[in-house]
Amino acid sequence: MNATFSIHRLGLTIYKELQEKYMILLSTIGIILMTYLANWALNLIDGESVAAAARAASAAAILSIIGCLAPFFLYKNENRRMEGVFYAVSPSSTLEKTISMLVICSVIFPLLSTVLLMSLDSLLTLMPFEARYSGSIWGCMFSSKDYLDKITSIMPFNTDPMSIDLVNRMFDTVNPLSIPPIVGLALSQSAFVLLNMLFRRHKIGYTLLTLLGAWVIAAVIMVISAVSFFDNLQNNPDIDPEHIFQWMITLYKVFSYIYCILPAVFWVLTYFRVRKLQY
Amino acid sequence: MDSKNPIVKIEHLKFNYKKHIVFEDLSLELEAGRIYGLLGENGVGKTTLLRTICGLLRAKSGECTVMGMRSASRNPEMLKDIYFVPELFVAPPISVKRFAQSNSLLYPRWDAAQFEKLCLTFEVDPTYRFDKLSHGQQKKALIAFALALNTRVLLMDEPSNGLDIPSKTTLRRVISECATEDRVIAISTHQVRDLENLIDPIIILDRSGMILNASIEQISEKLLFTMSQEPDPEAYWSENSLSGYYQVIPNRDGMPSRVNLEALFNATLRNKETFKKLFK
Repeated sequence: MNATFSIHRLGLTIYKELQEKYMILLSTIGIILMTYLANWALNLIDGESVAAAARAASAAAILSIIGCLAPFFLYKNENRRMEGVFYAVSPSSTLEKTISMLVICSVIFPLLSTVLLMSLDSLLTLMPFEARYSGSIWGCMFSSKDYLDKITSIMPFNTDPMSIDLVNRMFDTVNPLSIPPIVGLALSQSAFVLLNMLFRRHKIGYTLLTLLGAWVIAAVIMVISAVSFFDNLQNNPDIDPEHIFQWMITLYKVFSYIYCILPAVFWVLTYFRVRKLQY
Repeated sequence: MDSKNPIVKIEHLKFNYKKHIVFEDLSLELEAGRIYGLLGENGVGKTTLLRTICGLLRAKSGECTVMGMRSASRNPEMLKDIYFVPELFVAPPISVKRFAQSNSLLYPRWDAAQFEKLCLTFEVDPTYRFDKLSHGQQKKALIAFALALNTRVLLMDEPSNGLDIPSKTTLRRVISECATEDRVIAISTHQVRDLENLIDPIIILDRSGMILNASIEQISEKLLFTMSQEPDPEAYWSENSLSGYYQVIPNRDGMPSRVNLEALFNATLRNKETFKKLFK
């Protein structure tokens, strides 16, 4: 049998981990559902009906926040010296262990939590209360077009015809590049899985500090770029607006590609981290 | 000692934790069909050695192979034939039975019936939650699981720690029952009396490396463990008691005697260089 990868061993590894972690998995999904229910109860007290777009936005937010915390619950002990021994000595390769982590954190968990949350929402739309949940949000979670259409339909845009035209053109261009919220959730988890395996103690605290550091660096770069961009605009007042528009679209495309490539990089780094771990 | 077919082979192993050097040049072979006793003072590297053998730690230099595979690479083919029972561990929040079911999936020689029987012998209820059991019960459950995996290499770090007296007797019995010709068991312990009559050969480590690696037969050929009224001037170690002097002396006349591990350990620590030469 191949020492690096065997599909049979991978299947057994995933099954083993699910047997051990199914309670944590279900508890985390339970937290997501309870948070959504609490949100529904608050809306009920307010007495206002909530449109599908607003619900889709709040569902995506709840799924993202708790979903990003999921690796810390599911793989809390695997890199710890004392607690992680059973994981380390289990007879599967580093690649199989990493793929099993990927399958559980980025496929099974997002899919299961999203489907259950959507089902709960569908159930709540059937409730005969005055403050009703109307319309389905299923499409929003699985299609980026539906999500963006519904979100933009409730956003207060400038009514200037030129602005509307610009926004429409913008969305027409970026729509095909956008990814559905569920895929976004699966992709964004990779960073949290890596940081979870990187830090042995105070994982969530160190992760927040790391993200804060990364955010500060990104913000500084963006501010510097924006300042130089507007300086450039002031110095060249006759620059073509179409040129600026095209430039922004290119920038958006670059960021979209980075957003899709980064998770792969994070998963590769996670693989090397698991391989290098000593207990 | 003959080294015909070593399952575990350690060559010129060097290991350190930052500035603390644990092994500078350790070479050792473990053969099938034996239960090795790993003795040594605190901090000499007994646990480090066991963790290195099963791939949990990587040596700075030198080589450690298990069945011809480098242990540091944690090859699944090697891992399926090796298990490590740590001294301290955190039991998962699932039942012992579920733990055994899920963790045994990747071990080809797992015997569920043997596990049930061992749990019964150790008086552990496998339906209880692992993390809710007492430390001693957790240890017994893990030992039962480790033995039922039937791996070719079984490493145990202080297995008798935390066990009550009847359980220690049971532990000795089940380990000797599970020891087979194709299996190597290595047990590190401070409590030599707990495992007397079980471990053979004996390996004694100290900060300079390995002082002694010999079978009980070889030890009793060279050393005499005896009680006498007068202290022997050539005694390697002696202890005064009401009934006389218990001593470890050179076995000049080839007299048979029962090896007392505690006395052997004390004698070895007092005569490191002499014993290194004696058992070379």
